[in-house]
This record gives sequence, C-alpha cells and structure tokens, in this order.
Amino acid sequence: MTSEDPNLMEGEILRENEPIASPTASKPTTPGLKLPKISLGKLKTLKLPKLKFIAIALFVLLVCLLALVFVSKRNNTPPEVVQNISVASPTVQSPKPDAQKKLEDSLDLYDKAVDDTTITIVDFQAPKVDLEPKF
Amino acid sequence: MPNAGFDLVRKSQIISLIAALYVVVSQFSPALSITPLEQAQNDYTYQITKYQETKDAYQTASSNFKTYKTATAKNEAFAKTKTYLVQVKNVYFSYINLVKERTNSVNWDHSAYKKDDVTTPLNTQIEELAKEEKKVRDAQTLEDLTPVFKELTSVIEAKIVPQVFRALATSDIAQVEDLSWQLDQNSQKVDDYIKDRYSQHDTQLYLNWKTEVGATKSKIATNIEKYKTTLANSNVYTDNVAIGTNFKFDTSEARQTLKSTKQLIRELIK
Repeated sequence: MTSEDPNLMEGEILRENEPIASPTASKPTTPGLKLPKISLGKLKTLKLPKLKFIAIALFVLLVCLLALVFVSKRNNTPPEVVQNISVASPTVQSPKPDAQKKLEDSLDLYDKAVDDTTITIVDFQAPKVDLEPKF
Repeated sequence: MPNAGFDLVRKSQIISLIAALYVVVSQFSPALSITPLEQAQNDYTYQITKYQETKDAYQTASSNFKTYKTATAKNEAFAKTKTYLVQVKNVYFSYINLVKERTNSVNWDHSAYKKDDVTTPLNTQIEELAKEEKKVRDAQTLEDLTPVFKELTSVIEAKIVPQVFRALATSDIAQVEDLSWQLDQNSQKVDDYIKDRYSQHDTQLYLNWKTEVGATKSKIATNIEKYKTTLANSNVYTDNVAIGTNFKFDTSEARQTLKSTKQLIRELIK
C-alpha cells in the first residue's frame, strides 16, 4: 500500500511497515536501503566474541614469548672459541657410505658404554653408624 | 553456527595450555628424568642427613639422662633412642636399595653370574632389618633397647656389609664382562669392514692392529678371571669387608685397558 508523503522524493515509494523518516533526519544514500535497528543488548553480544578472540590471541602470544624465553635461556651457552679454522675444500665431499656410518654409530655406542662405567664398588662405601649404647 | 567459533576459541585455549605445559615440563625434564640409581642415591643422602639429626638428639637426651637421672630425662632418652635406632635401620635400608639399583644398572646378559644370585640375599637383609625395626618399636623401656644395639651391629657387620660387598664386586665383574663382550662385537665389525677394503690398506698395518686387539682382549680376559678367583676365594663374611673404608676389590686395571680400546678399534677406519 502506498500513500502520498510530502517527504518522499519524486519516484520514491514508501514500503509497508517502513518507519516514516522525520523531516530533520538525513536521508539514506541508497534509495530503498533498510538500516538495521540495533539495540544496546545486541551490541554487547556482538562485541564479546571479538574481545574473547583478542584475549586468546594475547594469551597465545604470551605463551609463544614464554617459550622463546625458555628456549633462548636453554640454548644460552657461551660461544666456543673457534680455533684452527680450516678453509673448506672447494671439492664437494661425498657422503659416508652406509656401512661406515653404521660402524661409526656402533663404535660411538661402545665409547659411551666404556665412559659410563666409571662407577665402581668404591663409590658404595657402607655408612658409618654409631651403635654403642650411650646409657 | 555460533558454537563453531566458540569451539575454535576453546580449542585454541587448550592447545595454548598444552604448549605452555610442554615448555614448563621440558625445562624441568632433567629433574624428572633422573635414573633409578640417582634416585636411590638421593634417598640415601637424605637418610644420612636425617641420621645426623636423630643422632644429635639421641646423644643430647642420653647425656641429659646420665646427668639428671630423672624419669622425664629417661623417657626422653627412651624416645630419642628409639627414633635413632629406627633411623639407623632407614640408613641401611636405603643403602641396600642403592646397591640393588647398582646391580640393576648393569647388563648381566653376558656374565657368568646371575643378578638374582646377588639381589636375593640383599632382599633377605632388608627383611632382617624390618625384624630389628619391629623389636625397636615393640620396646617398652630404655633397657629393652640395649640388646637391639648389639643385634643391629651383628646384622650390619656379619650379614649386610658382606652381602653388599658380594653384590657390588659381582656387579663390577659383570660390567667388565659386558664391556669385554661389546669389545669383541665391535672389533669384529671393524675387522669385517676392513676386510672388504683390504687392498686399500697396508697389510702389515692391518696385521699389527689385529695382533694388538687380540692382545688387549686376552689381557682383559685374564683380568676377569683374576677378579672371579679373588671373589670366589674371599670369605665375604670376614675378608674384603670394611665399614667406612675402601673395599679391597678393584677392577680398575681392566677398566683402564677397556678405555684404551676406544682409540684402538678406530685406528684403521680413520
């Protein structure tokens, strides 16, 4: 249903149930565009997930920073003084054959086993206790 | 789909929390990953510290009782002596556990000895200690505790220390036997590897290496036999036992020889 309205521009039609704009209100830029009515409550519900997302992002950032700090602390060993720097040969070294690699791995394990056997009987001396009655 | 976004947020929270926990746990991992032997060592050290505390309290209470001879002083001396004797038992209990962990740290697969042969007598000594502790707890008077001192001394000197010596000496031999086995395996691997490339090496160098490895193995085998004989011939109840002094058993010669083999078996693959 249409009706005559003095505020209507030429060719503009007022749709059913559309609120009649006050004479002082600015007109919509696009003809026929319906602006959503948003209550304050709705506004809050819209903002909350955004806030939550920001909080989570900050939390993740904090965790990453912590991890970086820990890792950097862990790896914070004094740099070794490099001695006898040798100039690398321009020829490309061929990779070690599998057999040699396997053998060296096995020998490394043997070295470790030998080094790990420093604990002996002398490290397990019996404790001295005083078992003389004092009364 | 409002829950999808929320689930994503919740998931990211959980992942962040797990990441944070991982970072924290990884920082403390060295503390969490101590070996059972180290744990037993820590327990033993703790019991020794506690022993010193109870000993001081026991000595003070005994001294007060000797000086004042009052009923209160006697009660105090009785209570502190009980605590002291229980702590003596705790010290030896943790010591035996430490020795048991030592036996667990050794690979017995290549030894002539069996681990159970040394750990079973240790478990028996733990039971002996438990019996002595019960006597201490059941004591009603200071006089009841006097025989416990003698019994504990007897259990420690005549049973625990000899069995501990036997367990430790056997573990040392078993460890050398295991290393000797590993030397055999690895020198054979090196030999096989060299053989394939035999033409590349000087024949005399290879033969010298083989002779040197053979002599080293033979020396270690002789050492092992000597240690076994020493252990078999020693009366573990009277010899080679000393409380608070060095045990008269030493496998350092074989260990030194084994250390030198690290270089030796690599010589021809450099």
